Amino acid sequence: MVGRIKPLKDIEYAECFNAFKRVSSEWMAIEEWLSKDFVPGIGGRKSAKVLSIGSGTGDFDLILMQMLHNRIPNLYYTALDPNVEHNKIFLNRYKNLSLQLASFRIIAKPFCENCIEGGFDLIHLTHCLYYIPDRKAAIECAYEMLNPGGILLIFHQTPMGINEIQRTYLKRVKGNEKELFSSYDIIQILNELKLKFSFDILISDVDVTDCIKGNETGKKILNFFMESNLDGLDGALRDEIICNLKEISRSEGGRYFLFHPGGIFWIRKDGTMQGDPENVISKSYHE
Amino acid sequence: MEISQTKIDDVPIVSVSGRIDGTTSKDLETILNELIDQNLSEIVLDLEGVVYISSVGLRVLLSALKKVRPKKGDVKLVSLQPFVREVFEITGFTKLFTIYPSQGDALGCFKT
Repeated sequence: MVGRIKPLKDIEYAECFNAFKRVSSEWMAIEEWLSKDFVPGIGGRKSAKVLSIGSGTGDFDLILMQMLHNRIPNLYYTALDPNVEHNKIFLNRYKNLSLQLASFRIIAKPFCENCIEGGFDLIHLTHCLYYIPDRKAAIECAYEMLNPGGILLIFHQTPMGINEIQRTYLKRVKGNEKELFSSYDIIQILNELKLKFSFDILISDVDVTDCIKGNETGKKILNFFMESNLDGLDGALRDEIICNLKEISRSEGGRYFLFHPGGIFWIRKDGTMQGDPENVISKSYHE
Repeated sequence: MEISQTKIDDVPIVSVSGRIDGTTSKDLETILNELIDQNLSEIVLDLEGVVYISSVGLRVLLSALKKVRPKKGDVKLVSLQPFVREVFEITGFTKLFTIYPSQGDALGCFKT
């Protein structure tokens, strides 16, 4: 059974991700957090160097760069992502914005030590640590690439929502759990690295009604959840996953919503959390 | 799930027992929203009798916290059973909520 399950090709992943985006409120929640809690706290400056690790189709970056550009006239923006299909989409979307950044480049390669010269004021890892084999090294490396006073932002899934489904089924479906990684694991890593951090959880939901109905959109969303092409999946196992998904979702107005909150970590290079926005829920932690 | 309410020094104390899941969490959400709508932003939530909480239940608690924090309020949790505490630790909720061993301890922190 597991042998028939194929990984998603780049273009398939992009399609499944798009289907997911249309039914997820996560990007709206992130945008709100950036505008209310993050960007106002960064203060005024003339220039900044930003690195986006795992930029994907640029959903997060396009929001961030517009907000930063309103405050920082000279923005030097670098994006890294090995998925060429995603990079093409990101580049087109960037061109359509007609932003006058000081520089913008997308580099088609995965993040690793020495893959790019450091000296950034802001680095973010948004939903990409699943695909990096040595996550601790990646976080440490990103932190080292910051200028003094620079900020590392990590957006990642919590153990709720999609991660709940993955914990139960990923191994049975794919034969491995390589992508299984949540904010809980990041907290352990940051503590091991003795890095002070702030943490918040954003409320967001995924409308999984299509998954439960079993239509084509739902299949793509489920493929995204399982990081696989599930066309060859055993019918009984698919039914079991759908049943579980229904069980952990809440029903509202005839639709089903999976609580899939986003975890946000905020790490400042000098180790202090001065200038944190007041509205960020958590205090600094250094356990 | 059973919910009871009382007030000490104008601070509402909501005591919950049983399971907070997809079926029952709506009732808790309604009660918390009613309190917040009455401008009561300091709430003690006693979870001593809670044996299970699903992600739907966690959403209700987080949503209440997000509503009261901008008003300088808080939702203070009391007496988590081991299973529920473990869920809170794994999900990172222990980083967001303050948990007290008793209602008195939680109330004391609102007074200071």
